[in-house]
Amino acid sequence: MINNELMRVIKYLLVLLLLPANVIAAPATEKTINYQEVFFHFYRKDELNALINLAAADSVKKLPGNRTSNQLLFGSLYAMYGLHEMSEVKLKKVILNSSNFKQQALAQFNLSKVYFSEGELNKFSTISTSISDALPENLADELNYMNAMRFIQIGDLEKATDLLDLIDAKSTWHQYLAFNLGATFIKANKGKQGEKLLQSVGKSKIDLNEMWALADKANIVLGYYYLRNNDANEAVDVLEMVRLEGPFSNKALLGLGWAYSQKNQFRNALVPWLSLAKKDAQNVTVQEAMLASAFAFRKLGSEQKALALYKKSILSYESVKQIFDKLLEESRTMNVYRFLLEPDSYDDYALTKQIIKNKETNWGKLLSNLLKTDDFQDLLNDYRDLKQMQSKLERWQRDIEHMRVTSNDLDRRLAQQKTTRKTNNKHYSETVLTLGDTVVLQNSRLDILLGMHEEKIHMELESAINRSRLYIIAYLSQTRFAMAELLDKAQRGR
Amino acid sequence: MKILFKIIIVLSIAMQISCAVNRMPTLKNLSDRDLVVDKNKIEKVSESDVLQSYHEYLEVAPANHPMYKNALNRLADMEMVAGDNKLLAETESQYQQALQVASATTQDQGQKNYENAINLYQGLLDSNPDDARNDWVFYQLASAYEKTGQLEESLRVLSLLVEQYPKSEYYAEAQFRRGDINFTLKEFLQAEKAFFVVIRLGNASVYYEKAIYKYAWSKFKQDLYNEALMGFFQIIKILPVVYDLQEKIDTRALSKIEKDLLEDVFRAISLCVSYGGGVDYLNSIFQKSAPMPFEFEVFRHVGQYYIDHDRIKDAADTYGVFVQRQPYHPMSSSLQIRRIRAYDQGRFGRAALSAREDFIKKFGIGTSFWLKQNTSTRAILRIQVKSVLNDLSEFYHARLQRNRRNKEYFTKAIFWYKQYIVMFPGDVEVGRKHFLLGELYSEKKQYLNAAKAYESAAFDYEYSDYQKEAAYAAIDSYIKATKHRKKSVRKNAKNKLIQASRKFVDFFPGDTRALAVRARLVEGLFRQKQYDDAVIYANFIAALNKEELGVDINFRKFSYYQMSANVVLGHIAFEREDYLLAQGKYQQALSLKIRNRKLLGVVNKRLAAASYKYAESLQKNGDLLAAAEGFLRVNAVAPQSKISIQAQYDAATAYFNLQKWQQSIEILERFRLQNPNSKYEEKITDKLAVAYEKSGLYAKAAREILMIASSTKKYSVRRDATWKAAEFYEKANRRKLAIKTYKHYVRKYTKPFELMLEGKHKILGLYAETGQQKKRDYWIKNIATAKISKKTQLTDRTKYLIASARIELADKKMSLYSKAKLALPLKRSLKKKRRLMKRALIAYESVSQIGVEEFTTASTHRVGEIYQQFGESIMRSERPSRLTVDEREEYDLLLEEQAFPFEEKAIEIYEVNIARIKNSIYDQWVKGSMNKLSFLQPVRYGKKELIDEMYSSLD
Repeated sequence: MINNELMRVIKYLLVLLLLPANVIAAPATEKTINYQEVFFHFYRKDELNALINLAAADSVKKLPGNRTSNQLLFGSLYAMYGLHEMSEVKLKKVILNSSNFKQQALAQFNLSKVYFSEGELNKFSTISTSISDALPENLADELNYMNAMRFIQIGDLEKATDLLDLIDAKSTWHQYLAFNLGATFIKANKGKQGEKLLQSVGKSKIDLNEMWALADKANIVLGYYYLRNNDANEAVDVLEMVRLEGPFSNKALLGLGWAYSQKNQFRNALVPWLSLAKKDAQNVTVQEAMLASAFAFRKLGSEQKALALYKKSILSYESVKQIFDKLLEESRTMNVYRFLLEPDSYDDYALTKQIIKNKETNWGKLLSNLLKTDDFQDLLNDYRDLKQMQSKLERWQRDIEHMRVTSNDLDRRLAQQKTTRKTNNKHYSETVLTLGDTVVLQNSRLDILLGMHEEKIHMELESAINRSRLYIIAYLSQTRFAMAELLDKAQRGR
Repeated sequence: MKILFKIIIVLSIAMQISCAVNRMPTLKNLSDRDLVVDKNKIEKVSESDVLQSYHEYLEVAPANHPMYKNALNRLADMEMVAGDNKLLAETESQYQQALQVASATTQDQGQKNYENAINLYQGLLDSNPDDARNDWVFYQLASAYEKTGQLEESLRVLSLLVEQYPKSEYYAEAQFRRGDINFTLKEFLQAEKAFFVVIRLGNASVYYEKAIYKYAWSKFKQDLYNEALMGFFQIIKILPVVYDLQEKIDTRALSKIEKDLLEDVFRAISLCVSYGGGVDYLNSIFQKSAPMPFEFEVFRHVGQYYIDHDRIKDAADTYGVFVQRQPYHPMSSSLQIRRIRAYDQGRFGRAALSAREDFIKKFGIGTSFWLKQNTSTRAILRIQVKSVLNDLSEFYHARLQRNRRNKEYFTKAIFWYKQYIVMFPGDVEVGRKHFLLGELYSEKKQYLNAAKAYESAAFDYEYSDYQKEAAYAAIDSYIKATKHRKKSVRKNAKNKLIQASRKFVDFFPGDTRALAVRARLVEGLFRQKQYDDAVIYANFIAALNKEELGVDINFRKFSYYQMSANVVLGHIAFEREDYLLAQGKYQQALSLKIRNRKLLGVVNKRLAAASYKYAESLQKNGDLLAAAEGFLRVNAVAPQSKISIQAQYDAATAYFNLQKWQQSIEILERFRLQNPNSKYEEKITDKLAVAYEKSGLYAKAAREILMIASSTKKYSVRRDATWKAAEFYEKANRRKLAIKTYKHYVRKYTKPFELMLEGKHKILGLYAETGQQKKRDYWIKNIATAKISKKTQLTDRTKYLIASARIELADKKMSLYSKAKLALPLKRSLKKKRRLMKRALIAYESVSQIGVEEFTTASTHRVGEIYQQFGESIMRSERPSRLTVDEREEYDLLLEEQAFPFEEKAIEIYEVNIARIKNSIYDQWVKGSMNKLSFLQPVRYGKKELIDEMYSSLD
């Protein structure tokens, strides 16, 4: 991320800035609907607008709830919008002032989420242990999940395991925790415990797409773990459980081939590898499968087939390399992929959808792969947030301009009358002017940030292309060497 | 959480891509399981196919590829075998022996074997002088001479070879060796010619590059630098060099030999430049030539050459000339850096500084140079610009510290720090720059600017070790700014101080200074009336536990912060009219010891006020008992305060209103004792009077009321109070005091007449009770003779009182009259009785004049009785003793005649009373008159009803 703190300050300023703008902009009759709008935006996952409407409703005393329940709403929205410090202040107020146990528990829960996401594990621990039984059961599962994740982070896997038992086994929290815990056990060389957990996730029957995908992932982790431990039979068993059309099928097909190869069953290995080799050669697993298939043919004594595959692979790699060369060239213009990053709505997933929409293009493929990395996701999320902010600011800039024109018109009319409304309107005009200036200022700050983000994205993309290019060169080299060696042996064999 | 979110995103994308709705077939369902693979071999693979394959591999594989060396070795082996095979195939049997000897000599037998070989080769030549393939023998012979150190012989044989076999495949090599030997023998012109021949043969020859190189050196040795340089340049052009993104030579593509050659070439070029006239000479060479891609490398090497030979200024000039020549070359900035370093090395301080400033102007972020560079160069440039900006800002900052008054140093230090910040807005070091900027401003006492910079350092960038110090320094600067002479600055600083303090405690809650900052923040927020926030922070401090705080802090300080937090909480609660809370907080503050006397005074005062206000609120809400207790507590918490006086009074008032007379009396009496000159004295008296009265303490009540009377000038109040006091004395059975007070009243307050008369009447009663008849008589006369100056004074009551006094007087006269006997001598006694009768009649007449019915009937009746008595007295008067019966009878008749008119008069008077019956007046006197009449006129008035016993019993 470029600068978390700067992002946060910008968000904070936006909220402060846009509150008066919204209150002024809204006609008196509309002020009454602020509160309902809060929920409208909230369910659209548009936290910024939800917050602004909530603050607007608050400023015109239109909040129906009591003070603490409104503080709770504020705190939760701030937390969701990422303004964690402000959220903390509000939620602490609720904890301090509320006499309602459920409200207190909800505030503590939200505060613990804030601390958890900030990585403030000590604070998280303190607040989470003080949450009373008044917390709803579904949130209790999430709380246990967070607690367990904390234990995983500090290396206390036993306690994390204990907490797993407390979470409803049918909940997604249980599955995610079992997966994370299993993977951590495996990393920590405690394979037996890890195996058990990952097997449970891998065999899970929860009929949710998200859970099927998690099961696939668990089986992949397990499969490769068995491969590393030369336990090819087990590897085959778990990898064959992965769905053919799932997101991880490529990795599974590749691994399955290696598992059979480990058992010296090269004919069997060829089945998944050839299946994978037919797919898009831009994918690194496909590239490996091509080379591996030729390797298997050689092992089976089918040299001609191997040679043909080497030649075909070389052509394919050359073609992919050209694509990467072209992408690298295009990336310097910066405009080629920018269309992919232009969200067409305030939807959080707009960018993702845009990328999926263009997934068949070379850029789409590259971005889809990049999205699997944490850093690029963060970068893209920040970029999306900034774009959304800019879009909002521009909209408000237009609104303020409209207000300014209206106000000037009113000024002219009032100038012909003797009325006290002149003073009121003067104040209004000044406020509008100030707001306009502030919006413009924030817009320029956003511009700078956006520029920095774009440069960073540009660099990330270039770096990703270069990485992919290196991969393809490595496969190309390897294939050429393998082919030369095959020919060399064939030549020497006579 | 973050991880989970990311997993979800990945999964959601993946899911959308796969459009999975439910679990699909797994890898177990893979098709084509029954794959058939036939064994087969590759046919017809030629050596060249294999060679080509390896070559193709080497073309694409990076040098660090794991198979690279294997491929290279394999390829070399194959080339050698191919060469050997070729050689063996072409050598005829007659040459086999010599060849074997030569080989053996070379490999096994050393120098002696070479000499054998020379003999063998020479023998071959001698025996076959015209053999077409003697060129190979010449070649081997020359080689053998060379290996035995016989250079001239070798040169001679090689010359024969080139003369006799110009078409030989060994021609080029022979020429090259000729050049080489000539060069060794310092025959540079000959050498140059031989090399030139090789060069003319073209680049097909493997000796082409080496020949150029040697040719150039030969020229150099003859001081022909221009030609030498052109030769060296030519080699660079020939070598398979590639240029990287910065347009510098990437030597990774070169073999080791090529790399060494290239290095030698640059060394030679440097020598040429050095001997040829320095950098100006080099410049002139390039100006005359077509552009060459390696120009940068030349300048770099020449510069380095100068550096290596301690010719620092020349080195710097060399780099400078390149920068001027190619200002947009990607490596220009790097050479400018080298130039700076050269100046540094040579201690050319001013020049180095100027070069640095020049660097930023030419190569800074956003310059035209920057805009023309690719991403890779920009990455390098960023590092360079940062370094130079660091140098510049640190230089001026250091200078400023030595000479603090120098404005230029200050301005420039600021300028360069800002340049860094502007050019690298997201850089990790920018925070530190802001910090140093803050230090600079702070040194110049520009505290607001300093604080702003510190804040940027602290909060605008990622975590760093000075972040905390910066945040604290910002607070420190704002504090200093709050002492500025301009009010607007001070106000601004105060606002900012609050914001900065908030951030500090939010970001660094565990810092040792956080508690102090928080405490100051609380005070600031309080002063700005941001009570909600002040309460949050103050509550936090107040709730802290020193042991749990985890920070080593002096207990006294800790107590002080908690005390001051509680004081603020108290103040805020007070402002919000939550007086109960305010009391609690003030008391907590007091329990933590307030060492500042002034503050202690304020807190005590506020505590008392809070207690008072709390009690007051209870009073408003109608909880008078609690209010009274609350008011009393004010005195307990602040006995010396002014408000406690008010509170005591209010407590008494509350008890008073609750009719808790005893409590009220106790408080008021104590209050009066403690505050003799209180403004409430009058009210206290009023209240005490009532309370005493209600408690039955009439004497005390009377005393209070007399005090009221004495303290006011208002006639009516004094009058009424005196009256009331008299009454209370009366009730208290203090008759003497009552009489005294009534007397005082009737003398002092003649108006209203009726009340004055009533007072007199009271005196009458009291004297009656005390048996002071004479004094009573005085007051009866006083009432009876009361002067009526206005008709309005004649009310029913006054009439009654006067009449009752008068009747009492009349009765007395009646008594005297009744007691007067008619004795002999009758004339005298009759005269006396008549006189007394007259007085009595006048007295009763005066009663009737008043017109009070009750006394009118009485006086009428009495008048009747006077007359009746007089008649009866005449009839009962003493008879003269010497009268005869007749005389006595006549005397009686005479007396009867005398008495009869009185009896008639009496009847007449009684009848007046009887006549009042028709006006519904019937009292004891009317009844008495009727009785009298029934006696005097029994026929008319002596009628009695029979009373039914039954009715009587029923009553």
